[in-house]
Amino acid sequence: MPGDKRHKKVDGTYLLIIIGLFVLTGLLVKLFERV
Amino acid sequence: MTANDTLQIIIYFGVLLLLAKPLGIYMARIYEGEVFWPVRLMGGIERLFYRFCGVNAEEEMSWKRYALAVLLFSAAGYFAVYLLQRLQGVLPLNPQKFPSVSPDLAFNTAVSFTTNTNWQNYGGETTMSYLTQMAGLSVQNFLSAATGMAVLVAVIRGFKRQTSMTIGNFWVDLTRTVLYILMPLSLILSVLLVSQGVVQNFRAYRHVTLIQPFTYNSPSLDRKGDPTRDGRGNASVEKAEMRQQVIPMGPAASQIAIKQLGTNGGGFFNVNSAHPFENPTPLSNFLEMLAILLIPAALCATFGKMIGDMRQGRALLAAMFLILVTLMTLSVWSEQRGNPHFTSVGIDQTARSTQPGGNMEGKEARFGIVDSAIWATATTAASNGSVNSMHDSYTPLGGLFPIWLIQLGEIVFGGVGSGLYGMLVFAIITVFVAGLMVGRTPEYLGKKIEIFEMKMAALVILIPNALVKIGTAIAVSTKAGIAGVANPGPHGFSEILYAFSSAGNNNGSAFAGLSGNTFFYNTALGISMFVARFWLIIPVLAIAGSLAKKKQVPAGLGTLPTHTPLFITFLIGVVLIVGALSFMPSLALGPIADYLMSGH
Repeated sequence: MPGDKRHKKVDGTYLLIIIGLFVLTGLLVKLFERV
Repeated sequence: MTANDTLQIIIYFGVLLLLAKPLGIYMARIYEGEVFWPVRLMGGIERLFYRFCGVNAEEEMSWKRYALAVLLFSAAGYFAVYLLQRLQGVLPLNPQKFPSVSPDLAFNTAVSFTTNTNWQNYGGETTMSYLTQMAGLSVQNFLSAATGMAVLVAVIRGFKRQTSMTIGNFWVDLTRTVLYILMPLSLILSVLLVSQGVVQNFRAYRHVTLIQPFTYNSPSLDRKGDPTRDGRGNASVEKAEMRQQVIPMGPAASQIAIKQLGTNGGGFFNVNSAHPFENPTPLSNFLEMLAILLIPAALCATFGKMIGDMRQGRALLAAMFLILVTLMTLSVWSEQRGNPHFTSVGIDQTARSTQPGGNMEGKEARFGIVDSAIWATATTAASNGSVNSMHDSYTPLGGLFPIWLIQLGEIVFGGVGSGLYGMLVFAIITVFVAGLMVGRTPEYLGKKIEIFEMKMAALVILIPNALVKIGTAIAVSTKAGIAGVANPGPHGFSEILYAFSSAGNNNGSAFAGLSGNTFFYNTALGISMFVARFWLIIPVLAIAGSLAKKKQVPAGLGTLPTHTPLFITFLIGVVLIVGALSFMPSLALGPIADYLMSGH
């Protein structure tokens, strides 16, 4: 179930992964601006 | 090849090319903001939407703002689909009472649909509620397709504009794509599909007792749900008996129309368009096949119209067409030739009026070989990913061409928008290579191609390459990666290579022999799909921004004309050489080794 402890932890891990991916991609915009 | 095979390929492309130009011109008029009948009819809805969302339709964006808008919008889409899946157990429109989707599968599916890939590690009718299918997956089918088309339009403006710091407004391009292009086309196709018997309802599934129960071989699974193997490394099976059949229902037609038109490809049912409720008749099959390539082909005309030179669009369409027709014909020929092992034991594989002949394993009897192989090559060329046959069961060469079409970078027609902006990047590389040959600064459509554009173009080509190879290498080197493979040897390697090629190029079709719903594949393929989509969109928009700033240079004696047969040949050469050099070694370990071992 989504509410249990183990799943909350896994949800959190995937949240971190996706936020990390979007932030990294956003940084590419900054990077290419300077190339 | 039979006469029927040839005739069906001719009819398919004939109808496609006939429809491409009028649709392409219609789309160009929409994107150029022309006021004509659809805008007069639905302009009120468009303006209401802008007012509701606080969008200033007159405001233009730089490429950076455009890119950030794409990212923010896609992030919102991702979280909506993820949450819908995780909470579907407590949400309405779930007559089968499906539990919430596990976090790793929800991650994979949300990334997959947000990136227009539609790789599916789940079976639709056994996993997703009607609400998730409609409000999550179908909505993303529209929005991810519209995002790709919006990015393409921004790139076209980059070529068209001079000394401009802006490339359009993402929200306007997105809204116009959905409202005037995708929704009307989807409505028409949905109604046509319903007329053919595709289901569209909210009923609970029907349980039917079989008149004649039967036994079948079911894959044997261990406690963790992983497939078990015998001493020779083959997947073990156990006998199971089927007494009752569950007939799935649901709002399928509305999802299937946009799944095809938006080059999404995610099936409502597990076996996608091989399912009789998703694709019941030869006519529904033809319409769905047509819908795969319709918008990508039409966008070439849109490009030509918007830049004011239809010949440029025709040249790109000709390059795509020639590559696809060749590989499609080879795939049909390979499947029609059949399996040499069957011939050696006296099985007749000749096509006759009473049998289709050739390799019919994994294909629907109602479609036969040619309609299966046309679909397999169209769907892999177009970044669609829907299937009406199981590619894992194709002959080694019949399976090689679809994999290679994916690996070419999804630019032979490609995804809606993404295919053409990918092909434009190849066109930039082609004029650069040609420029090196004659010692002049390369130009494309009057814009000088310089170091920045080449750096970005190189990234667009290298990123999917790296994703496919690194992903496959990790999978074949780890237990978690090998555990999902149904067949040992080269065929198993092909299954893994296909999966990472599909994810790393946002195609979404599966070879069908890989158990992908594992923590490893859900995560690895999810990350691949994300990077393949957004790490390409950013450099592509950067090219658009850079080109928009430049002045147009008048064509001179040293300018390479980019609408001639010579340029088309150059372009095809560059696409095929890059594809061959990049992937031939890995193809040699998979389908080519499989071919050599199969007795041909």
